[in-house]
Amino acid sequence: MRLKIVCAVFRKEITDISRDRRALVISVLIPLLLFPVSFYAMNINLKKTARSLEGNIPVHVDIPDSAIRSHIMQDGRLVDCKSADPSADLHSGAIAAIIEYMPVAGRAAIRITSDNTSQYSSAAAEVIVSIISGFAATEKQPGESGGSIDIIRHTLVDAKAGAGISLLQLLIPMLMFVFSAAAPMAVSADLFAGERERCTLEHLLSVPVTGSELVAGKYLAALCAGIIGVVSFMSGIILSYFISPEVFGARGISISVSALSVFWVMFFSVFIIMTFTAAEFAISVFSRSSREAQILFIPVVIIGMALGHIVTMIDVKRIALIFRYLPMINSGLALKELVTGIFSWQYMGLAAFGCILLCLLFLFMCRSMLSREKYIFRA
Amino acid sequence: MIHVESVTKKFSSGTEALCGVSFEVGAGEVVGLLGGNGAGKTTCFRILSGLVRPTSGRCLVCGSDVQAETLRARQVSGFLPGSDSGLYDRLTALENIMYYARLYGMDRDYAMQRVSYLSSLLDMQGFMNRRTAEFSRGMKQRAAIARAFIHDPDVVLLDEPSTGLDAASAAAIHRLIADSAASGKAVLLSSHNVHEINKMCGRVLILQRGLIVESGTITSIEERHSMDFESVFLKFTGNAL
Repeated sequence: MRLKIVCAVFRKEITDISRDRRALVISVLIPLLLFPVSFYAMNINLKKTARSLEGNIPVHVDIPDSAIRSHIMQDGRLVDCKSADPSADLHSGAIAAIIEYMPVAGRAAIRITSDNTSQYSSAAAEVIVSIISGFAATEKQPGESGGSIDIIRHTLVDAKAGAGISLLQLLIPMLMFVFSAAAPMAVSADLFAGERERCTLEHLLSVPVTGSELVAGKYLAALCAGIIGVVSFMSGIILSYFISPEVFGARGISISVSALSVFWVMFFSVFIIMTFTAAEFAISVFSRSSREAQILFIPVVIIGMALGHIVTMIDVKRIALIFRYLPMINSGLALKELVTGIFSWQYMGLAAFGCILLCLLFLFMCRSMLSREKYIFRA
Repeated sequence: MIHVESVTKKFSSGTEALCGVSFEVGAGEVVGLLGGNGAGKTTCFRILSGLVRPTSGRCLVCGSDVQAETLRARQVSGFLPGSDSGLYDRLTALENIMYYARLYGMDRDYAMQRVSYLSSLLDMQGFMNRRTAEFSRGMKQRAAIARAFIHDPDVVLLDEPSTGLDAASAAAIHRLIADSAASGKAVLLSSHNVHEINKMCGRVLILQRGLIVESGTITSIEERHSMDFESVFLKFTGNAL
């Protein structure tokens, strides 16, 4: 092998690549920005959780007046919300935990009930444990506690189901984003870029149909393909869960989601698929060939993965308001909420509206490109 | 039926593809639009089909302004671009043609009548139900021509319809063009084939660098230049390169 030749080829390719702006954006700019952006988003959530653990943790305290109650309340980090329906409030995220006095066989015991589907509630339970442990270490009062206090940890959802929901909270938004970005790729690439490549676009645009009609007809076809693709992906995952649950770490995990949640997850996923399909559709109209379109789809899939990653890191019970105004993230959060059994209709509506708006924006771009000869005859 | 008035097209790159071109094609006429590569023929066809906007001037097709009433103008014209037959490989010839019939808003029965007429005229009965991926160039071009004629257009724009075809396919296409002209359609045809022009066109327009440098019947052009038409054609198209 002649090193000179290898170097010459290498130099030429590097020069060529460095002049390809799209390759630079895909291989340098997006990876460079992706993690800072997703970590920034995650940081917003982490900071919020950390700040809210510093004080004013909303809890329901069901302990009679006593030294332990005084100790807990004097710590200053907990606020007794005196909930009328503690379980419902814990489920909805209005309170972080329920603290109850529950003597067992003559020994003082405090039961802490937390929501194991919420990172914040689980963290708050840890704070409460540390407060009570502090009391047990310093205040050994024989009359009250027999020298020690037992702490009983309890969870809102039973451990197996809670682990299942946590697994779904991680899997569903991430998979939905990745699959929604990946499923319509092949069809979207073919619908316009493929037409241009096969020289059928000029024929098609010379018939008496409007750009909007063409875009709408083709978009619906791409959307169908996208939905079928996502359903196939999901069916494959469900099938593999039943064939080999061990692979999912499912020993000791029970996955049980209500039929209503499943219905709404499926219904809501359509908005995410719609948005990704429209974005890829616009890329297809712009691209010279289906190969170029497929290269340009890579950032869309990467963005899908990043969105999925951000959504999995956000505590479904403590969502910062800013995320509600970012349509794609809000859609992922809505999926996560649905899996948990939370139906926030106003935020689901906002997410759906945002997705439809994005979708219309991309389709408008398609129509606009099809009316300009610069794009029609892009060769 | 086709009225082109002082049409100029300047691309953003600065290239002037057409410089004040004017001509008319009447009912029952087959007019040849000739010129070398880059003379402006394809741009002229694209302007007439409403795909490209002229920088100035206007085009009327059956009285409809192509820019202002694009859909109406397209409804009455059939266009065969020169780039490729532009068929969908995974569809049969019949499916390709019927797709366009639907886009033209034709009802199924009438479309099937037209398919039957065109397939017999273009000798396509043997391959109407085969996928076009397996077609030869001649078969593809016949299917593409049938598609352009499916809605029985009053104006037909054919950009190099018989380039690279075998004699049988070319003859089938010539039959259809002659038949259309006989039934009062206006046909604008571009070609590099002098024999085809001689055979099909009653009148020709020769484009050179975006200008019409010669026009008239073949006989009148031959008389004006005192040479046969092939020599005139070569004289102009050669310079274009």
